[in-house]
Amino acid sequence: MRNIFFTLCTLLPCLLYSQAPIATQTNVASTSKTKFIQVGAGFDNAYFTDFATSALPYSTSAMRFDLAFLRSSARRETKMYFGFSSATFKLVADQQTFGSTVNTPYLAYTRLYQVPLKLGEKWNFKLGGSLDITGNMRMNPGLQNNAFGLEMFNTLFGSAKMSYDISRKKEKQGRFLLISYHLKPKTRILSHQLNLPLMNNTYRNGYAYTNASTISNQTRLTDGYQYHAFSGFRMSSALHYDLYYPNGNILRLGYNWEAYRTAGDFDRFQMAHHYFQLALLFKTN
Amino acid sequence: MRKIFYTLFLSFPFFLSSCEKAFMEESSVDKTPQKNFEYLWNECDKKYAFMSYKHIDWTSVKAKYAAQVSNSMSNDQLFTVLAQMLNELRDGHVNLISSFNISHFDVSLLGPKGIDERVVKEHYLSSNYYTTGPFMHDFVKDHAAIGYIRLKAFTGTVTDNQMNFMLDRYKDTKGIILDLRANGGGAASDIFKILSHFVSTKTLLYHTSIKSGAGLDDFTTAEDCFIEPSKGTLYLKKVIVLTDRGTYSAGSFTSTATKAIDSMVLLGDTTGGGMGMPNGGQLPNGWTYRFSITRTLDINGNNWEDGVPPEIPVQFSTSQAVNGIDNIMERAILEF
Repeated sequence: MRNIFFTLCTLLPCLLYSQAPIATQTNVASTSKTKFIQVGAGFDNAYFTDFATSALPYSTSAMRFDLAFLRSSARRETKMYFGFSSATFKLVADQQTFGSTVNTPYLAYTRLYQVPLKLGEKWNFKLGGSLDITGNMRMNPGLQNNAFGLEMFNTLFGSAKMSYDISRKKEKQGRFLLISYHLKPKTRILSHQLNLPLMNNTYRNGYAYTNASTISNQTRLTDGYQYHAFSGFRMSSALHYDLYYPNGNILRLGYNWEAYRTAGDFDRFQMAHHYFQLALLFKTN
Repeated sequence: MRKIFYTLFLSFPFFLSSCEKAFMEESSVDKTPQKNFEYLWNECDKKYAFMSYKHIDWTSVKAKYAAQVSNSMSNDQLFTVLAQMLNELRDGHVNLISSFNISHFDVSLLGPKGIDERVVKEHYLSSNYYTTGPFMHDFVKDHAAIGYIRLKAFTGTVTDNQMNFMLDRYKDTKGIILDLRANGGGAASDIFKILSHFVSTKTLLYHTSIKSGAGLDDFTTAEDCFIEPSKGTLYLKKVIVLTDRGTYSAGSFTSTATKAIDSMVLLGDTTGGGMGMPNGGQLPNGWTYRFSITRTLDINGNNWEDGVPPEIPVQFSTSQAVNGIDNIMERAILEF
């Protein structure tokens, strides 16, 4: 898995360069609508605690993959995001290692509109919303009949994105120690998006956690599960450094943080992700 | 100025993420005996299914064992106290599991031994008895009109093909002895797979509910458990089901279910019970545990958590077994 990741990291930027070298200047003030397909991967440092079965945190550093379709301009931005991670979260306690295999699909749709603040042409400030759906399917054999855990969070976020153009407009020459350098103009954008919850809904096990379907000759995995609207809390943010290639493709380095938890009468579930992402955005128009 | 801007811009997301602890509950390994004792007691208090049925005063139990817990005690000592507290529940589905010990409440020791398998093999079966999946079976020696099927554990591997093969083999018998003695249970799916070959119509076996709140009698609405007749071989003649104190969990569920099937008769000793499905969880120090969280009642509303009584009670005779006689088998043979 890691080999594939490192191969992608190495080869795909070269692929970006090798495409038709049409010079396209894109910056935060550009009003033309550009479409991208984003292919990303990275390391997700995450932990969770499911207080219904254990008061202990299970953590991992795992691969995460994502795919997104974006339409972006200075005035408007839409994004449809699909992600997936599969990892064994571990806990070391009582001289043993406990493992919980967690499969997590992510689905999100974001729409942002520019707010005309007079911050200067290097700035772009957008406001909008995002609908995020995340689910975890967990399997921890150490918990016996409570081995299976499932929860789903769907959240309507209010989103704010601040972008700042840190492009190098002119060629730059200089010397660092004994090494002389010659830097060409480059388009680079630094952005930060903050998502605050307007409505968070959770789908989670009931009081007893497991259910009696196996002894009543029925197979209903989520029997007794409950859906709670306006429950729990979720927050996320994304810091992106975008480096534009001459043909309009983008190499993105990102740090995405997300944390969420359930609420209500039952024991909580909580989870946090710190996702360090490398993504390639292929311009498709 | 630019450096300050970059520093602020870049550090803000990390600042946010570092604040996640503000709305995330603290969770970490905690070996403090007091905390682990409290945690385990509370979990049982909220979710154990038979406090009311067994008339357990869980608050008194807490007072009794809390006095034995101190933060200076060793892991082994703490384990012993917690295990003793759990055994107050008198439930074979209750265990505390650590890296160095697993606590247990052995219900099979609550009654006399119910089977000597060597006697069965040597005196009631031919030396060429069949093994089909988890079943050992044959015609009863000197009683060719009776089939004998023994199941030592519900392994979760029972298939219709296995059942079809066995029941085709014994289709011309007067009846079958289904021996569930010393069967500690296992996968519930086997219960339905087996029993579906002994009914001709959709049959209600029992009712099950699960804890739904902290109150002693907070359970979900009872759910009916039905089986449909198998599409394979059906055996509708008399079946004597042998049980003893070692017949536990899925064995007791099967025994309870036989009370809803006219052709099946329980014979032997009262089963060990274990009619509550156990959950699973983990203490703050990493030890894991389980205890019963469901309640099952037979079709007449009886709770057999302490053991399913046989229609024909027979105690195993060790003295006769020494002479090669299984008195429970002998009594079962008389039924045909």
